[in-house]
Amino acid sequence: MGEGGGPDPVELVAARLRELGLDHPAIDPAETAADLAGRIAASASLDILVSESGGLDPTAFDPSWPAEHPD
Amino acid sequence: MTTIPEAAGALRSGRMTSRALTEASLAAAAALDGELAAFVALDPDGALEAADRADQAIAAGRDLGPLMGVPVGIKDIVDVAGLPTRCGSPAYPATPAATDATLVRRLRRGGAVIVGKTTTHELACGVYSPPVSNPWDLGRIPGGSSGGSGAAVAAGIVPMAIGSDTGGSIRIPASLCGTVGLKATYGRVSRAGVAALAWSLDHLGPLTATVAGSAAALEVLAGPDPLDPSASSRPVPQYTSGLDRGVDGLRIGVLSGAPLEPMQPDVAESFASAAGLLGAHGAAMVGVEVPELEHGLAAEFGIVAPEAGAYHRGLVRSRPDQIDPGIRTLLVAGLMLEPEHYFKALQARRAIADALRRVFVENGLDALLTPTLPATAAPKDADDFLFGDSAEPVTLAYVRTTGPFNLSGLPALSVPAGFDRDGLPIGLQIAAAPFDEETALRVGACFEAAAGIRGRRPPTHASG
Repeated sequence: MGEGGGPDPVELVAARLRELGLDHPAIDPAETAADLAGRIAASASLDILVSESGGLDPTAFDPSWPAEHPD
Repeated sequence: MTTIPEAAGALRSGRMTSRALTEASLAAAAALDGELAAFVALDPDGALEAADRADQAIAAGRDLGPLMGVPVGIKDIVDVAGLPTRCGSPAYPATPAATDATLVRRLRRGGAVIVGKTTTHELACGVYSPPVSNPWDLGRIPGGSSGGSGAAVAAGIVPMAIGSDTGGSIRIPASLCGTVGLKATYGRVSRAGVAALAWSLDHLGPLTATVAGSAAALEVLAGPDPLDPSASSRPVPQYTSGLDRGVDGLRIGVLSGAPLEPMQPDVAESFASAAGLLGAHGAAMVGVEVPELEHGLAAEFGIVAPEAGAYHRGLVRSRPDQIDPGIRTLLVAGLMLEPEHYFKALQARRAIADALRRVFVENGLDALLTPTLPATAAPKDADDFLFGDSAEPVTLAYVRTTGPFNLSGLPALSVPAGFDRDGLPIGLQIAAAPFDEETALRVGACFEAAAGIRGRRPPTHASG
């Protein structure tokens, strides 16, 4: 059990690793869980830059600038 | 002889043959291998055959372009037919590549002589590039991931070597080794036949001794490619013309705030001097800030992890024990994270690209200056930099100033700007508008000539 009686995050990660075929002695669930927590926190820090929903398709990246940008 | 223009001049005048140049490169690579480890493979037979062909073409009066007869190195994530592509990883096979990458085909068509493959940080994912040493101080890193290319050019082994750049991997070694490095606009140079790190951030480009050399190399490398959907079909300008136009009349932004701070005092002093020098040569220097760049690292790694994890998913599942633990952690995270984090990072990337565009457009900028890196070459065993009382991982410190131009896709050139108190090189980064490599190169050429720091050679150099 994790703190507060919830599921243990390391066990959850271990289960997810198994689901994805990533259960291997070289891949440590505890280390992976700690790393993921840091990356999710970094992702949360981007909320200030992006709206919660909507916006242009972010996968269609083109480095060019439009002649007149619809700001 | 370490520059492309010098080599080209000597070859065309008959003062030098490509065979002699190539033999000198091969001998230097072998002689310095114990100290620098810049190459993982040399191809003396193939190189000398190519050199002889170039000499025959010159004798016949044919001109294949600015790299004709010039020895070059290729980063070992790029396919060169007949040589293995090992990507700095024990997990990659020693089987020779069957075909050339598009950029290698372009180099061969232009008469360049490929002497071998340069060392990369494992999977092009890191800034240390072991076991490569920095020619300015063998106890320090050359940067990465194109560390072998930086060391090879700085040490005068080859006048040009190819690097790749996902978060700074051309410009970081260029800055730390005291060479020029050019990451052109996303899509300007084909990536077909090159192992990916993160598809939407990967760029290819040259490391050279001079700005003119980078311009010459880009003329050969750039252009459309049906094998790479991201390769632009825009016409390729003659980058070598107009390099001597100076900066009079240009408006050049001088970035402050995020993501430059903290930085080493010698870097800050060099940066201020560089801006002052360009101003003294007639450019209007404009102080600007782009607060959105504070989030560049989160966006950069939010994209790199899932794209790299997806690209290497077979390797991660089948042989994770053969991957460096730090890189393995990143790849596993990329496969584990929910998609919303990836798409949020892509949205943030667009916000950052838009912020950079706005600062160019609203200030009427032709170019934007930053220090290439906030710190000089780290000792090989250093995990962190100490900025005052604050520690920062070496990798994050380097990528925070270079990564924004991968996120935005803007062209960015690193030129040598001076030396710190320990004699280590400092770089100046010059970014420009999309597909305006000409302006970045023009500013770089003006600065290079005005700064007058060319000609200083590292202690470990082919000239002995």
